Amino acid sequence: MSYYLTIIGSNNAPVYELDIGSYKQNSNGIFKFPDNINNLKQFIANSSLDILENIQFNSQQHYFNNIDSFYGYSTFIFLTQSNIKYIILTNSKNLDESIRQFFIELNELYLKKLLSPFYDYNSPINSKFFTTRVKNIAKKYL
Amino acid sequence: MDIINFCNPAYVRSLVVPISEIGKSDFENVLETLRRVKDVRAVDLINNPGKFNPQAYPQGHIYYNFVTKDDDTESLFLHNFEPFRKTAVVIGITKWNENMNETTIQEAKAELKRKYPSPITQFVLIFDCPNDYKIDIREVYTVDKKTQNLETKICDLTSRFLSNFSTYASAYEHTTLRSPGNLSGTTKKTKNRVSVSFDLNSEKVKQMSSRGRKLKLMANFYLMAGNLKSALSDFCEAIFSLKYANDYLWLASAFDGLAVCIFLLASIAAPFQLPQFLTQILDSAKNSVNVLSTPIVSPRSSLQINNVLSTLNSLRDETYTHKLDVVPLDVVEKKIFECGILASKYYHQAKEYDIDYVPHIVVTESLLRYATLMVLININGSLNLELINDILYSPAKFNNNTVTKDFDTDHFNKLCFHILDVDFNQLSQTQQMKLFYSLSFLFSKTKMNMKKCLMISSFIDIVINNNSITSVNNTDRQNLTYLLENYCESYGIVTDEVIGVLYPNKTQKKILLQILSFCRIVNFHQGYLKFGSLSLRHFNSLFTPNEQIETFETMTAFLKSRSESIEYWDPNLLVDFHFDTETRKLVEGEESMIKITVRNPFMFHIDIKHFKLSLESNFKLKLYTKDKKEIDNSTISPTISVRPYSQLEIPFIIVPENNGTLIVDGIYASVCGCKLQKFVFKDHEIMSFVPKINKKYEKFYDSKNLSWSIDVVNSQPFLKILDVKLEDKWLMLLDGERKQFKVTMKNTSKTEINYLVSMFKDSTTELLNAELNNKLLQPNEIYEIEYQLLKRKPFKILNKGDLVKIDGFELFDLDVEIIGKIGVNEASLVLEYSHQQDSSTEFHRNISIPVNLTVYPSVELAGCDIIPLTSNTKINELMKDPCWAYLSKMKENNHQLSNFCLLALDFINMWSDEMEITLNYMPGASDAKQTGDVMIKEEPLQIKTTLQSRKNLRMFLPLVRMDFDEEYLGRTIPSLRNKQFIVDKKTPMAEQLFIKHAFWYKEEILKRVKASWKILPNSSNSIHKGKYGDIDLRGFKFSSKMVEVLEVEKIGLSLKLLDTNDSEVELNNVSLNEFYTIRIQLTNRNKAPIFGMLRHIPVCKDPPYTYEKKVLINGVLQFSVETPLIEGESREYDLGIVFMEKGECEWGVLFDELDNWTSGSSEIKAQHLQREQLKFKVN
Repeated sequence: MSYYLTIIGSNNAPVYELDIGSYKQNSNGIFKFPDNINNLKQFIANSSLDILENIQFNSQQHYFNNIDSFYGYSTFIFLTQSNIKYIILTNSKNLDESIRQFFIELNELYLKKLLSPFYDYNSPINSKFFTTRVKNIAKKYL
Repeated sequence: MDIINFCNPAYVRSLVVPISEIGKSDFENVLETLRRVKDVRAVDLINNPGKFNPQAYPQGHIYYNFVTKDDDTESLFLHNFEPFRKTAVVIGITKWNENMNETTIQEAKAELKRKYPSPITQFVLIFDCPNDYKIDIREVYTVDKKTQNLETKICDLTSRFLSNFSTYASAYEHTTLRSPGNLSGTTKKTKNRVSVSFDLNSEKVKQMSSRGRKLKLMANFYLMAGNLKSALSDFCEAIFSLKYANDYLWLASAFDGLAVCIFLLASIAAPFQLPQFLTQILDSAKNSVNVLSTPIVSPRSSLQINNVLSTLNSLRDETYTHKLDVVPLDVVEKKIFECGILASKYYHQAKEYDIDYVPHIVVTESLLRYATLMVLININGSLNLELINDILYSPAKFNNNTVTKDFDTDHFNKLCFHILDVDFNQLSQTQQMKLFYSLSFLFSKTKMNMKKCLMISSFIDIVINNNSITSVNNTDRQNLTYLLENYCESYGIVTDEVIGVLYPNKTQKKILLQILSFCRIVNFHQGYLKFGSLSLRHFNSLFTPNEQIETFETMTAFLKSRSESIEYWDPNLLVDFHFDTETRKLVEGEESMIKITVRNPFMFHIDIKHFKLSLESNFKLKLYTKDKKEIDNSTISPTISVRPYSQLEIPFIIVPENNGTLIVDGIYASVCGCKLQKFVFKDHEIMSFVPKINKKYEKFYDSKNLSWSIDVVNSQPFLKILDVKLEDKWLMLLDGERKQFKVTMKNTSKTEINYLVSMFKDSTTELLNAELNNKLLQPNEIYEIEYQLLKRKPFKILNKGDLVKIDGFELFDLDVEIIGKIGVNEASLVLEYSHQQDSSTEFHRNISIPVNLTVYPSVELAGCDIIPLTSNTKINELMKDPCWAYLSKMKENNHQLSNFCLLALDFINMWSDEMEITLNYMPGASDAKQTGDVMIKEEPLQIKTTLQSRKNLRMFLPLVRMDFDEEYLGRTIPSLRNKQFIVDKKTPMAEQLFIKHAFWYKEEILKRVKASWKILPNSSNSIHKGKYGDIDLRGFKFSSKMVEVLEVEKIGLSLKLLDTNDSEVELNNVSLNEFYTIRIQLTNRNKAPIFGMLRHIPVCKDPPYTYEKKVLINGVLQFSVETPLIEGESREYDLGIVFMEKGECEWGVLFDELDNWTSGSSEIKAQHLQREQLKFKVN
């Protein structure tokens, strides 16, 4: 099972992305997407924003599970108050709750990042430390 | 490529192929013409006895779908299921030529038949036939040049097709229809087939199913043949049977067909009625809306077969005469979507129960057709005839509107989810492309840009992977550019702006790389160049070196093959520009250097050609390369290559051809084969902090174009030194010596010189300048240095008056006098000259005349002093010196010698020859206004003397003591460089005052006294005889004592001894026991009144020194002056005395000047003594 995580800024430009391989269910932590999906993953993740835009102002929820799918890959979105989107693209099934937990911790991490005076809102995150922390959370939940 | 049309099931798929040589554009024209006549009315057709007799339903239409690609093999397994997928007609297109005859045409037709055996009918259409040409071969039709008879021919062709079609359809009468298998041809085993019915046996089910399938197929045929009435009844009947048999796949397809049938009926405004049972089923669709998201088991309707059958029969009944009303379009719309929902539901069920293999293409196309219709209806507002016609006749012609707010996006999304599910990958690439294309159309209409991008991205990927399209035509190019730009913009890549992307990201890079390979594969040069330059402009930081080089190389190759050109991708090519001149001015007609710095931030070499300066005004100038090749006129422009990741400074020579202000605001250049364009230098000011909210990144940049301006002055003269008339190359001078020589010069240009200024420099200049920076110097010391720098110049031009104007090419002499100054070993005369038209454009050119010289010391001032004279000074008869002669003359003129003092100057002769020293006293040289009560008329005086080598000598000069008021002496010491005066807070005030006094006294003395030396002409065997020069007296230094001697006291106290007759007594002969009067004269020379105490101080010489018992005093020795003395007032005080004893006696007086006397204070401000006390001898 593999996950593609991306953080999309309020201007719909990517802020951060990470390929995550799961350790659960006898997986070895290696990210495996078929080539065609791997090539398209950014586009698939982004295309779910169209649907999010249609519903985000009609709903009070932050977490949208299985909002969109393409070639059998589902998209999960966590929308922050500042219109930052955390998106996960995966072929795993029945992991709604773990993904939600993952998003909540990721949000905390992102907020800490946002507090840094050296980080500009919507600018790309290139910190290795951030990646390590995200991987740790992923290991916990995904 | 067209989007998938809702009416596809009713179209007759016709393949159009060229059969002889026919040009691409001709073929496209023919196709275009054919597409105009794709709709044939049944009423126009010839009657035929077959199944599809057009007379049976004359209102019907037959619609052709002309295609150029034969993909029958792909859909072969679906031909029995959905016959409209089969290519029914193949039309061979050819053009008429003279060589054509029946045989060749027959052959061509046979060839066509051989090549395309599967279509129902093969036709040959011969275009551009002469009007009178007749041919009588079946299935061959001629069209005249103006294609006027095309419609007739198409009608003929259609009649023929219908008759063949009847034959084809009849072949299905007795076949058992199977569900379509997958591509490999195997049908799925129906393992878990649900038991279909409780109340019917399986035989009955089979029978119903078989009947239903056949009816559905026939209905499809009727639909294609335009017989909507039969199609409707067959569909209804088929639905009944198939529903009965729970044959979901076919049932779903039947609903699809029914929807199209209803749509077409509405298009010709034909009245129709659906049987009761069908209306019931359709009504149930409302409950099945959610079928797409959550499959539910459909409620099984228990139908009474007999009732239904009777209704159906009545539908079919030819004599059914009941007048029906035209169904309103909103009902039609409702029915169509109900059919759609049911179709989806049954497809889904067929899949769910795994009864039949459900071909994904069938499901997706079905979903897509409804989705398209849904979108179009929403855009149009409602389903009306106009929209129906648009869908039927010109599917490409939809307006640019997008869906409104009340569009059911949720439902639309659900439809689309199902299209793009796991099975999508099983579709052939052509089918996928078609679906992507249609979906991207729908997403753009529904304002789902990101989804659209995903479709485009997938579409492009297929093109890239397949390598199937090799070229695009003009219309495609425009559409493609629009599409790709749109694609880019959705991901924040702004294609038009220069400031495009704030944070270029990897997704954007991915998109660009994808577009680039797409453009390369389809040979879309224009697009490649556009997006290539965009990538290099904004994304070169993300592109790897190899990607950069590859993009660049492909672009270069494409650029070479194209006539038009593009703009160079790096607008910041120009990094710096400067005029390489020292004067910051250019001269008309003269060469000067400029330097242009360009950059190459890429991983490849760039070549720059056709350099030109961009000037703001219409300024004429010529540009040359460094090796003086003119750039503008030469045909072969020099190419400058800039290495990867580097900056290059390129020197050029410019020659301005007129004067004024030259403003360069950029350069023109053609880089890497791109078009000639202007490059400017932008001064970006990026905010240090990007605001965290409310961002519009365009606002971060405040850029303005820089321009470089320089004044170009009118043409200027040029001077050259021809000769310096000096005897020796190396001059030897004595300190203070003057020497004259000539310099011959020529103005080598035609411009006259009307401005000439001389400046002098010598080797001491720098030392003195350095010394001036010493902060510890007192103002008088600074003045001395400045004097040496500015007043004692090493040169003097004697014929300045002749040099007001020098014409072009004029030869002239410069008479120069050089003055020896100790310490100088090199001196130069600098001439600054120009031709000035007006003062605004100041330009000067310098020429320097260097002179080497050695200066030896001559006579120097070694020391100085001022010696007081008293009224008692005796002048000896023997003193013949002019100084004493002068003084005695003054004395004779009744001037007191105490008003004079002697200026003593010590000279030392440093030179090897005997010198004559002349001292000149010129009292008239000073115009300083003296105050004071003593007016002495002075006379000029000259004193000469000789001084041997290495000897020194003291010379005296009488000076009248000076009386300047405080204001005059307290003036600030001037600065010759006009430096600002700085208040000195460190030096005590008294010292500052002394320095000022000393300075002004010195200035006064120097004005009056001049000294010079001369080597006597008769001096023995000296080569230097006759030389003369000045002695520098500025070394003169005052001590405080000297100042005291020189100046006249501000409070004058003089004493006189008078006898009883008030006449002065001879002091050496004072008698005992006689009455005398001591008279004090107190004079106030201050500007303010004074007040104080006067004290007599009598002293006797012989012991016991006290004056008591020796002198009788009539009065008091100490007393107040009583009333203040005003400015300039003089007052006398008398004291009577009688001497009682012989001896010598002195009498002095002291004046205690009191401060604040107005307030009654008795504080002593200063004490003043008399200048000369009285000394007398009492005999």
